[in-house]
Amino acid sequence: MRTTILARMVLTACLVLSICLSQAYCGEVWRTEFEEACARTADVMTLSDNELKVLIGRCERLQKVIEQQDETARKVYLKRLQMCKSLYVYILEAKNSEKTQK
Amino acid sequence: MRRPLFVVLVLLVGVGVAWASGTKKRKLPPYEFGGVTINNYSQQAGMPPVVFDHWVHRQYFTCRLCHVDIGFGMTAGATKVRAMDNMKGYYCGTCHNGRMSVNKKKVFEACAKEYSRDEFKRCAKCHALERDAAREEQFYRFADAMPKERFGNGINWEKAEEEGLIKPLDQLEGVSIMKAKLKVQQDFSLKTKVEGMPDIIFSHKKHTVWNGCELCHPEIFIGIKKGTSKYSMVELFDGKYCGVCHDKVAFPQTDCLRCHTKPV
Amino acid sequence: MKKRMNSTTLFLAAVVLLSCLGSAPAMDRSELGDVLKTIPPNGPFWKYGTLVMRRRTKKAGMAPVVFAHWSHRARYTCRVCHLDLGFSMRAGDTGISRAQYTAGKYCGACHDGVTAFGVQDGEPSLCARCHMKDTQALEASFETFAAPLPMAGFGNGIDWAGALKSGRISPRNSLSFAAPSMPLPEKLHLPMKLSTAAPRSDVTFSHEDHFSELDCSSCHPDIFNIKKKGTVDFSMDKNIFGNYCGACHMRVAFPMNDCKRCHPYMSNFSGF
Repeated sequence: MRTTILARMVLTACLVLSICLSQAYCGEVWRTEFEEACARTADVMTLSDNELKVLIGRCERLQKVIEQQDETARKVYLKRLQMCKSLYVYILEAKNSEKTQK
Repeated sequence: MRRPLFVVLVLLVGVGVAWASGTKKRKLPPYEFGGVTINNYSQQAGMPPVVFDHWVHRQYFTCRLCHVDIGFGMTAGATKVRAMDNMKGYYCGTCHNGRMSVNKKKVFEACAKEYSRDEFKRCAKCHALERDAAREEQFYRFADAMPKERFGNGINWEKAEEEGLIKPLDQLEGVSIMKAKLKVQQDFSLKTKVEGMPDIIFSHKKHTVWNGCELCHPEIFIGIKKGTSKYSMVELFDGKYCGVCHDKVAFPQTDCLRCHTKPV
Repeated sequence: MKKRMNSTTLFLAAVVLLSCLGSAPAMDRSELGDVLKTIPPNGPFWKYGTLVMRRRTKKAGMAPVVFAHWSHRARYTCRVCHLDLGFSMRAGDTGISRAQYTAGKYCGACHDGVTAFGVQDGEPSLCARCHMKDTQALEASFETFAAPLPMAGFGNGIDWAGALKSGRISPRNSLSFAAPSMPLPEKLHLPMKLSTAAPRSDVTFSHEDHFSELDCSSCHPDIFNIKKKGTVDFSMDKNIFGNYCGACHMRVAFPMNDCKRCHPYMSNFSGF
């Protein structure tokens, strides 16, 4: 009986710890990921279709992670992410429409 | 009982709108131009609304820093900033944290859960009950040293930056994604509909001093290929396209010659 | 009972609505009454476009400022003061203070003792030139002022547009810094015909005449928005209450009882 309780306690402790760790870890990771994914807004006109598609994909994955963050960070970073993703999508569309016209 | 009252209200509002037409709006004095009143939560929290002056901030920072990197929206009240957000170091609190300094002066800290009578003075710096005469003084002292303009703040911000009288900061360590300088896209002209009206020369260069691509594209300007989108002054005066910034913060659109510059 | 309440509310609504229709934000009835009193033949020529500003002076214990538009508009176009210097077109809106005046703002831009008389050098006797206890001197100066100018039957009794065109007056269009002047687009040079209910009352409007005194932004888009069908309620009634044309043509520019100036096919006389 006692061992089961102990085992449970250890288990929960592990779980809590892992969540804490991963959250803190996640926090770090998603920020660097954000900074990298949105770093190309200034030279967006020089990117190829493929590069743009990759960046858009990264933004989409990142969106899910940011949605898990606390209220303020979520609000701020979702807006920033949306602005940069929209720009990538916009430029990609612009390039494609130019091609089809040619 | 409710419904007739509602009808009365609607009628009254309608009449008000109808009768307000054909009159000159109050021309804002230069120091009030670009002022934004934000009242999402202030009054609920027992505070006067925040009066934000663009002129104070745009001497030191570009539009992009706040409206892209810090995440402020482009319409008053759209961002719904909470005191808590500022205290966590977002929005106003990004700079107003009591640590950052501008021009060797410490930027006062924004928002707190509790405050003493003395500290309330700090609250009242933004949660302004009334126009501060000292601030008006400060404005004129600043404006007198800047290149003149007939409209808006009476300050030609574009020239002020060009001449190096102001050096707005574009990136903030820890907040902005530090990027290389933006490659400037070409200027282009926009044909006017009226014969003899000077065409518009749109300068990407003048805009990218203050902004990044993502601030205008695609949200404000969706048109990609030149000539595919038609813009009318009616829409612009309604606050669309150029009117998102111009008239409210950037020089007003009534300053025809600032945009209609191409010699006929 | 409930039904009666409803009808009472609706009746009240109608009453409130009607009373609202009687007033307008630009000018109310009593203000209009005051204006009508000054429009010749009810008032003397010198008084037209002459404003008395007492809101701030009263607090300061000074005599009110009596500002005559006529003495200024021979020297400067409307746009110099109402655009460059930032004077509002509505009484009481500008809120001029002594501090601003001495700092060279508003009146102080010219009335600095250099361009025009000023009190900056501490000459108190000159205060009374604007802060007038009575208007005798002003009245007297009007006679000599108006004598060489072409006559009109209304307003100041001066045909300002005629004076400008004939070169009798040549007002400056800017102050210190060179005001950029926009070329007036081709089609705006021609007089514009505005149709009314009857052909006899059709209006001829000249952008050119207005542009020589004003800037596009003086009227657009606030007073006349540029939507084609935007000015649906543009009527004489609204004009008289200080909306649309009435923003200027009731108190400063020639008043609207000078019908022929805008309705060329109409007569100013109603039957004698």
